[in-house]
Amino acid sequence: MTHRNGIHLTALLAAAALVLLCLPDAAFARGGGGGGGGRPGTGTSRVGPAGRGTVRRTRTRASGRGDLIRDQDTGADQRRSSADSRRERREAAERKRNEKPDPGDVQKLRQVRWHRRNGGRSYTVTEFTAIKCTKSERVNGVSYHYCDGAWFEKVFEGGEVRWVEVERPPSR
Amino acid sequence: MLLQGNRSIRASALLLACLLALLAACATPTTEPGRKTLADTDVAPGEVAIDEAAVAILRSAAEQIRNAPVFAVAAETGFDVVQSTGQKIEFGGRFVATIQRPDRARMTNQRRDGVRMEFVCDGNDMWMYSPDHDVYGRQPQPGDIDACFNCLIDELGVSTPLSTLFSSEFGASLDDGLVSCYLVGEALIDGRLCYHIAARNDYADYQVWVEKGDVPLLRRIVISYREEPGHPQYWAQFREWDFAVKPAPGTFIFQPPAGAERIRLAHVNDGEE
Repeated sequence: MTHRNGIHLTALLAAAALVLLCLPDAAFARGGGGGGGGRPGTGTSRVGPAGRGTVRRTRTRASGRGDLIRDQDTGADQRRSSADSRRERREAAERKRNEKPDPGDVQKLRQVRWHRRNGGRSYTVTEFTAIKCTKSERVNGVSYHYCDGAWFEKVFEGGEVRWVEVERPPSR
Repeated sequence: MLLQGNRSIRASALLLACLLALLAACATPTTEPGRKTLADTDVAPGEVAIDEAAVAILRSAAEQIRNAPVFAVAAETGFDVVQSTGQKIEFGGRFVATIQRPDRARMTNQRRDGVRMEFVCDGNDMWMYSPDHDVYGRQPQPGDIDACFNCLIDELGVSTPLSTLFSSEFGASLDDGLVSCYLVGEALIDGRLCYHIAARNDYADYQVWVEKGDVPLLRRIVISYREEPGHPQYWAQFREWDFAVKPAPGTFIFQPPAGAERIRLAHVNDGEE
């Protein structure tokens, strides 16, 4: 009896060990791996390569936030490739423009600069409502809000409305 | 007693065999449904397996759009975003566009979470309007539709997946990097009989459904990014093609609604110098 009990105990221990070995794969297969990250509605990314909907690998930026969306390890090559692609596109557009009367100097029209804070914060409209603002100023038709120790301006960024951190408003 | 001992040994051996089989099953790598690599296909890397008839169908569908001086289309779209956990989340929306070549376009996009955006190219400027926040922006952009969409994508960082359709060169570079292209068969999409074509280039696999008949209309596309982590997909289903549309006066003129606030358009390179 002791011998039989010993065999059963060994088999049970082996079973438990095997079940434990299998658990990580099973969790991954359910999409539950990763330590519980990716909770619905919190920190879910909306940006990825599939959002481009093109069969070419010509885009490396998914949004105006400067996200490099593929091959982070070979970022320099990607940026070069992207820069080449953009240059080619600009040159093609330029050639097309030259084929018809030039409606205006594009560069001249784009001289109006603004002063986005390098590395500054950027919030969705919803996120921004949670930030306490203490004052606002309107300069040259632009509204600036002073919130959480910095100036913010509402802009279109990557096709959506966002509040981005800017340098202090120019003096009137 | 000996017989009993032998039985228990056999039972234990059987149990261990079952467990070993279970271990073997667990050790087999889990694969995502639909995941493919070049090794999974009949086409060896570098081998070209192209059915010219299938390519001709794709080309005719592209020409139908490229050569249309004016048209309108509506589409449902969806795309996967692979999260840091590896989980795929699908986003998407509904898209309506009216195009008048060479330089007029109006598009409205509504995401599934309700966020709406409008874009207008009028030959001189590109306008962006958010009805939800009643704000608009203007970007001087003289030139044709291609220049307008290139500005949207490259300078403003706006993701406009279907803009490729509106390009004056849509389909012209179909052969570039094409690894395989063949007719899968026929399929019904929204009740319309379509050719189902599967193709792959050096970056992505894609499937296209083109309506059979006199007018080869693009009805559905699915793109699988096999080179990207998690193999995300993009899809679009086109519901309302109209090549006889007569755009109402003012369709391509953006008139800011009374009270709408004008805001700036952030450029991709802003703040990087």
